[in-house]
Amino acid sequence: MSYKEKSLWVSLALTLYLIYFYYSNMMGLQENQTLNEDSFTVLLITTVIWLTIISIVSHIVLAIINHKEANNPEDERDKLIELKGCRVGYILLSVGVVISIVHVQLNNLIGEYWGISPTIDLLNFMHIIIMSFLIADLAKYATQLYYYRKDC
Amino acid sequence: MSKSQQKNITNNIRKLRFAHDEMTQQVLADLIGVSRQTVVAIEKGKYSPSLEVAFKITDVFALPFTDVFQYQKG
Repeated sequence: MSYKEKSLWVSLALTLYLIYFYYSNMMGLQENQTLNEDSFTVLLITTVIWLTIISIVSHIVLAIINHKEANNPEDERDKLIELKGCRVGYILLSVGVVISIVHVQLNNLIGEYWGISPTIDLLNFMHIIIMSFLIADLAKYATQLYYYRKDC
Repeated sequence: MSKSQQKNITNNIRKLRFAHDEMTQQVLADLIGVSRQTVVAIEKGKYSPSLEVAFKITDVFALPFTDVFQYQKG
């Protein structure tokens, strides 16, 4: 297994953990009825900081263990596989953005009839965007790993 | 292009490596500037290298292009 592939496995695992971390905290806030703009902002910042720290630490550990390969530049096959992964991630992110736009428009049209407050509406919009980012990232890494395993 | 007209790209790289003092995949990878895993994928026919890498491979073995890579109907 190349260093690039190992790095992707680490990134995939971290993204999965991040989705769990974000979603479970989000559900916790909703269940406790403490979900508002401030608590959501704190959750967002905490998630980003936590992800940054564990991502840096895990990749440093990986680089130390595989120090011989860590500095090897990407070759043409690595770049091609990365492009294929990015294409899948881009499509999913685009779908997520469209869903969020439709969500906002629907709420603008019928929100007041459903009793959705502007704050909850904004949080829902941001939630869809954030989940779209995370799912797109997950799909990007999974696609790249698929092509590495398929020996393409 | 229909399936009957599809052509496959095959190669003799593995045989040529062994014929050249049992050259390892890592050595060939270092010579042509790719990873060992890419050399594995090329030998298995799972990945078609770029023209530049393909020419580098033929340079390593000092052989004509068609002696290393073959383009034939599947």
